[in-house]
Amino acid sequence: MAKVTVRTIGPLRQVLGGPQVEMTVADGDTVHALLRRLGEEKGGEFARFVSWLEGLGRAGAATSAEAGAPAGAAAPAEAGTPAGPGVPAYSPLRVLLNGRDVFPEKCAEVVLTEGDELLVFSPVAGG
Amino acid sequence: MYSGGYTGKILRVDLTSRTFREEELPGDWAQDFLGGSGLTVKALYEEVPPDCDPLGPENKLIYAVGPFTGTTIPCASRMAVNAKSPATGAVGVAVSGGHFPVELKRAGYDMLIIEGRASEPIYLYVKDGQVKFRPADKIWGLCATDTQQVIKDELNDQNVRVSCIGPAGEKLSLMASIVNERRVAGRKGLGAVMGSKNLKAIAVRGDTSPRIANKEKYDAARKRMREGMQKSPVLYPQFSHYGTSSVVHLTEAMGIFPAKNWAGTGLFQAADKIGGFAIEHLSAGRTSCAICPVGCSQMRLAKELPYAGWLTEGPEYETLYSYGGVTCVDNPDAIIAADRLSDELGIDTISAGVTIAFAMELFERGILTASETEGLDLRFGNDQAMVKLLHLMGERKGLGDLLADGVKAAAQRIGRGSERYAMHIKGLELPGYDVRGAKAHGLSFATAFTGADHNKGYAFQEIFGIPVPYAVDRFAIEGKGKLCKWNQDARTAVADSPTMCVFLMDMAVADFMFENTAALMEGTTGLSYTPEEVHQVGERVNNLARVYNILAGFTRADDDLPERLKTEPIPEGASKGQLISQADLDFMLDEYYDARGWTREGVPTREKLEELRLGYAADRLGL
Repeated sequence: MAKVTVRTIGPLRQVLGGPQVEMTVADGDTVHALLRRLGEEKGGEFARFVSWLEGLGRAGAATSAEAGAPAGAAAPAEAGTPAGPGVPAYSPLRVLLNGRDVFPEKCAEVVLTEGDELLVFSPVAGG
Repeated sequence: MYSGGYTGKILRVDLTSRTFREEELPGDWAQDFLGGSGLTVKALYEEVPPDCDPLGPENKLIYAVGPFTGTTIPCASRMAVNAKSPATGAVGVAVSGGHFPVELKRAGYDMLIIEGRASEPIYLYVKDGQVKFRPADKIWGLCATDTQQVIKDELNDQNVRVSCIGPAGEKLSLMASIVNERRVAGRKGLGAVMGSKNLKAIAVRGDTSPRIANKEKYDAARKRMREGMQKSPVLYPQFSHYGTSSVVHLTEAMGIFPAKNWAGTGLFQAADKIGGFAIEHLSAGRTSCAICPVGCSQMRLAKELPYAGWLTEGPEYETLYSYGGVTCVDNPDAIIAADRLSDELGIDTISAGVTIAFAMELFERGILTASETEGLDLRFGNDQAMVKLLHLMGERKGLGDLLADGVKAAAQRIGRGSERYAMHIKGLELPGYDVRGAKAHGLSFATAFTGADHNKGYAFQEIFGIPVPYAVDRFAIEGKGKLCKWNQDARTAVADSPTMCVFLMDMAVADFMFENTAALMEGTTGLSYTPEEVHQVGERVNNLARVYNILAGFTRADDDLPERLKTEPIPEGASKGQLISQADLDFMLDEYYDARGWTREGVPTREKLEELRLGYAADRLGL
């Protein structure tokens, strides 16, 4: 078990129920698993985002399979690797774990640990 | 040769002789530099001696709109203004929206080049192919709004569009801006260049529309762009309602909202008081630049004394940083008042706020004494002292005179170790991103040809998490040289030169930005580009600007960051512990120069310049 903090900014605070909530996750739980729980418990944008993520995963798997890549291998998003099919320029929500972006195709891979801080919010830009 | 979009004409005005003439816009200038920033950099390179006095008559004030300005393409109603910057001594281009750019195009011009110096204060009236040199004795000394209104009344035309300076420009403040109604070409001291020429304002009126080269292709390109805008999860759902002001919440959450003159990032939490989501109750509607369906400009009204009644178009994110974060002011009414006062005085909000924060730190450290501040209690967070000092700076009175030329000049005058607290690069005060926690953005601050300029190579991958051309770790230094080059060239090619709003690039067309520009160019002008050739326009402009700066005396040593960013880690928040050490900076600079095909001293090679059709610049450098 691990305790993590989920924070948000802007109008999404109303969905989350405040600027931040503490949550306990099971060992091995991923960012995706936590987002799914948020979707189930809070609904709204969180639920829609999880649906979008899962649709993206299916589309990414199909695209990769069509391109001859191993099934389930989403398009890469490592530093320096060009975005390919299945990596959207714009995501409905943005997720940062301890200050670093977790891109949609990585949410199911990144495992949460004690003390992690997850920032989830509707994308903001301009400046 | 272009067959649409451009008017094909440059208006050249000599203030010394009070003469003007029209010239043809060369076809290769359009092909190679597109418009806006690109054209003004080309003209600056060709016509303004790099070693000239920026406030002398040899300097020129160069306006350029873009090929899409005045068409029905949305979000392209912008222009670039350029001169040798008196703040930096480098290329000084600034970009502005509003309505003036469209009117200049409708008056029949792609560029306006102003030379010489008038013998007494004047303003220009451009209409029907004529330029009138009118006395400015009634408006000299006036703030920006009154200047524009008096001109409109005097010309008996309320629809004339005006670009002008306020008192700060008249008094040659090196942070003076050029105000176009309520939009501003804010940075690099261009208002002082205008003031040095005894030019108070330019009034423009026109009624022509640009020709479209290929209507079918134009419509198709425009349709695709509008679809990108509609699909964006940010542009209409969020940005239309809050403008840039909501970014305060983002950068604070990411731990990169600078505070307390960059010593308190993460310690001063103000988003819930001054950020866009927190100041909705001060909204007084919104407005937009010409031909923009987004309308990001938020009108806000101060409601509490002593600021009640001040109305401003803003404050934008950068102003919330400069009159909020770095000064530790958490009173939104004060920031609204300071924003409006800045636009009236014609003074750049970023440079002014950072300079006030610098003075606050000197005051708290005892470097500036109470007698030197003439009784102003300049402790961080004192909003009334901030607004008072801003006014003094705009009018160059008392302590304001000492500070009116920005932190670099002020530190030189004050001495006593104050340079350590002067947050600038190449003489330009830092914008509102603590780049210790966003390394590519920091590298762009260090290398931008205009000094510390967030708009020259905005690392939207790091700040907004947009994975184009790839995802990045904002804390890493590896790969950032290559990314910085990509960003600087993209920004110049897709936004600043065709004069397309940068926000569109970030929020709507990021994944097809080069294709978008190429398609719009072909439909509008008839000029053909591959997406790679569009990106290369940006590279060409960045290289020519670099050559100009080298000729003006700049070297690798000037591609630097303030000492504080290299030696003091971010103290708190989501970026706690981050810094860019000298070794980090050197690593990124080497990578950046390599990516650019420059020497490790930051000098473009002949091979690179010839590849970009800039062989003439190699000759001038003696390569």
